[in-house]
Amino acid sequence: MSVRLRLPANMRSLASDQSEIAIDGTTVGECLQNLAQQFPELESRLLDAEGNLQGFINVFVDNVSIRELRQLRTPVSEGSEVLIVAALAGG
Amino acid sequence: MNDSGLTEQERAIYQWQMWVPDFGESGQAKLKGSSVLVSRVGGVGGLVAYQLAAAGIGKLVVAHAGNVKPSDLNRQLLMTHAQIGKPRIESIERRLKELNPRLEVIAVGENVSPANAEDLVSQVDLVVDCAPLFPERFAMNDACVRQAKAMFECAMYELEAQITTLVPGKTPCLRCLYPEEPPTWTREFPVFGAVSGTVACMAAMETIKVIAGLGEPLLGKLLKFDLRDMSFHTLKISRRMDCGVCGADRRNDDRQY
Repeated sequence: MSVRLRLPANMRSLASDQSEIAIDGTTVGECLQNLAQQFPELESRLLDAEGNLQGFINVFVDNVSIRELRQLRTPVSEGSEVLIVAALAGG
Repeated sequence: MNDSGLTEQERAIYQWQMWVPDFGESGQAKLKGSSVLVSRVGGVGGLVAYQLAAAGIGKLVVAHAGNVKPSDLNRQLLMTHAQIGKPRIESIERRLKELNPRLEVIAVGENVSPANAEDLVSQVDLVVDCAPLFPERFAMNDACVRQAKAMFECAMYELEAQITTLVPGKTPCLRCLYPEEPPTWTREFPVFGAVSGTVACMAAMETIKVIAGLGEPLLGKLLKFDLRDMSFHTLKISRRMDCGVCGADRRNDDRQY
């Protein structure tokens, strides 16, 4: 199934300047792995060496944090919006 | 001076905002009696400080190091062309006092660091975090958690911005939201003044709301928006019980603010 994955502005240059990408996967983790296969430079921005979400990234599925759900094992539905929110400090 | 502690001049200046029915003279008196730390005072913080000064906050502690550079002037609206090469903090203090000569300004010509954060936070009721580097943001967060003071967290990059209101013991702290700083973050970043100004005005309004007990602040909610396509997301955020800053100290829970 395909979800709409929305990237933060500071990662779009690593994904051909796209802000929203259609990605296949049944869980958030699968979607992120598939994203990283297409755009390898994104992998270390999202996941650490053990495959866990980086501590400066939050992911929301249809506006709910995956920390409240099943982390990277959170299932996604056709058409879900997967929103990646990166820590910012522009002041 | 009337019962609310406002002078006739203040009643005249703030008349239009006191028409907001659940704000009124009592809300204005609360603003007058409140103090806020804003750091830094550039593209975001300058507008936060200016709006709070305009609204009649009683005291601002403003912290910002360095001299005005030409590249400040597209967004740092408290800096002026004539001040290039001179201390930013002088321009900040002068512009705030020109707008509101009744305002008490504590002008600090240095940035927040772990060495001065506790002292700066101790001088105020509330903090607005507008720093361009994570160590400064984390230093203010840690001091606010220790001193049980609310912090308004606002940040931007390019056409995107985020804002939330952090209340120790009640909401996540900044370390709950982001336990680690991104290693790729740099002090210089793409910015239009209209984007930093948008999130700044939201932060000033959040500050006014919390002080006056007005409306619903962003407690446990992160507002994330992208002015490139005008998309706005209100996202629920929660505490990490294993947070190294606020999670271990359960005495913070359920404090009254």
